[in-house]
Amino acid sequence: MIKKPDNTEFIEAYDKYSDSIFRHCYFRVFDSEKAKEIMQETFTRTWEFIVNGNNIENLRAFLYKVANNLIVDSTRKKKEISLEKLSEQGFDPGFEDKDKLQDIIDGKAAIATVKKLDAKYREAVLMRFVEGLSPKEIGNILGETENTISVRIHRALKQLRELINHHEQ
Amino acid sequence: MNNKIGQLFEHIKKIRLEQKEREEIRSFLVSKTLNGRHQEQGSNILRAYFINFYRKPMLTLIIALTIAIGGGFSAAAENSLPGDILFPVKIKVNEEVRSAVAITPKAKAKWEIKIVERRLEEAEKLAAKGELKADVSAKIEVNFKAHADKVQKRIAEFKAEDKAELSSNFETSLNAHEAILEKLLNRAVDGKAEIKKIEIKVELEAEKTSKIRRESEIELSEEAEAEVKVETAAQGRLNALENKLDEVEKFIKNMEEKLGAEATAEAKARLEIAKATMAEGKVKFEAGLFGESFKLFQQAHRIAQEAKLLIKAEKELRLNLDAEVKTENKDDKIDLKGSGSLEINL
Repeated sequence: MIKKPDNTEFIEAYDKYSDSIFRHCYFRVFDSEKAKEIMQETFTRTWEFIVNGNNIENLRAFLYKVANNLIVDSTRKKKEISLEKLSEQGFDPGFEDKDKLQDIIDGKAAIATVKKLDAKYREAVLMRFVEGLSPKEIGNILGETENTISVRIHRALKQLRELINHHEQ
Repeated sequence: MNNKIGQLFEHIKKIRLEQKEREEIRSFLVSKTLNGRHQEQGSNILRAYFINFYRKPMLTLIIALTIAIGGGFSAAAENSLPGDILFPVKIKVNEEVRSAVAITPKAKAKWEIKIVERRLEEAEKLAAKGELKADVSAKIEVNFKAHADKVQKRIAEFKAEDKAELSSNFETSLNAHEAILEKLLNRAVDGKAEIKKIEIKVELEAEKTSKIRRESEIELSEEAEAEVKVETAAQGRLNALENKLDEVEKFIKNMEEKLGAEATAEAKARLEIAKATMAEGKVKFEAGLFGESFKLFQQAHRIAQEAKLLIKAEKELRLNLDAEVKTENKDDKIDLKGSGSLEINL
């Protein structure tokens, strides 16, 4: 008799991490529609993995790993498919209508700044300071050493300082 | 870490899904996972489909294998055309699966547009091979109309900004396909009537969409309350446009190496027009005429996209090849690459 997995923990994980995964995807693909789809697919696939009898030690890290694989897949497929419309790099992140206009403007400015970072530095620094993961956890998710991650974070902060100072001159 | 950087991260933390969308996905996941259930997408469609095919065991076996390998989505069916064995799988399974994956209204609208494009591409491929028969063509027309109507219905539900964007994208696509059908019409030896009928339907739909696009652009520029809203919309469109022009430029360069200068000349010319239009838009933007600039950025975007679609069509249909080289066209063979992994093409 196969034990049917109970979905409580899974849905709790969704409640806790869905925004974070969405945001992580957004800062890779810069398309909020696509980020939503990838986020949903991340959770769907994770559930499939669970339901096939596999055990996941660290659910949060697993979610990020799945998301990253999907992101890589989606950018790779863009190049393979012919006669299909490529997704546009739109400037429409996720904001709610009731957000203050000022917040929206600040948010968009922040995105514009962060977009100028090197992709690998951006990924590391956002996972650290926005998603709140430790360098060790980030290293585990991305398959890099903790040291490599720390270096990237350090360089990202340096680039950010330069970008912000330059902007203010 | 200094204060300004901290503030930056605080702003970024505010980026999240809209409450409504988050809940939608949550409900979807809850129903999917209740009691440890794992429902196959499209399983009901499969059941209905197999009932029709019980008399043809071989067919059923091929399709069952294809679907089983693809996990509900058949990569092999993606290249099929009306009249092919796998074509029903393409529309009844693959397209259903992808419909289900599109959750947000905008994603759904974009997917409906994609379906319309797929029907037109299929018609074009058949026409290029000289295989567009009357009965198939009639079905394509009906399907085209049905999905085009769905697109219009979805577009109508959006606010001015998204309406303008979606109708602009749809219009571009229809115009490009109209041009392709025109070229096919000129090149065709027989079956001209079928091509012409589809072309006319596409033209009408393009006109309809153009009207909606223009109306929503007017609506957008007249939205008095949000001078800032229009400005950020125009800014957004400009950013997308700059990326688009980069992308198209690189694509043309790439294709020029493969297809030659003549094949890409028209596209290059359009790209130049697109750049000039963008420059015009920038002038308006600087002058504070955000509604006008938005329209111009949209226009430039359309022209750039047209350039790209034309080259793609040239490449796919080899429109510029001499007539002698018609014998062995590799692109026309159906590609039976089965996918071994559980993948849904986003």
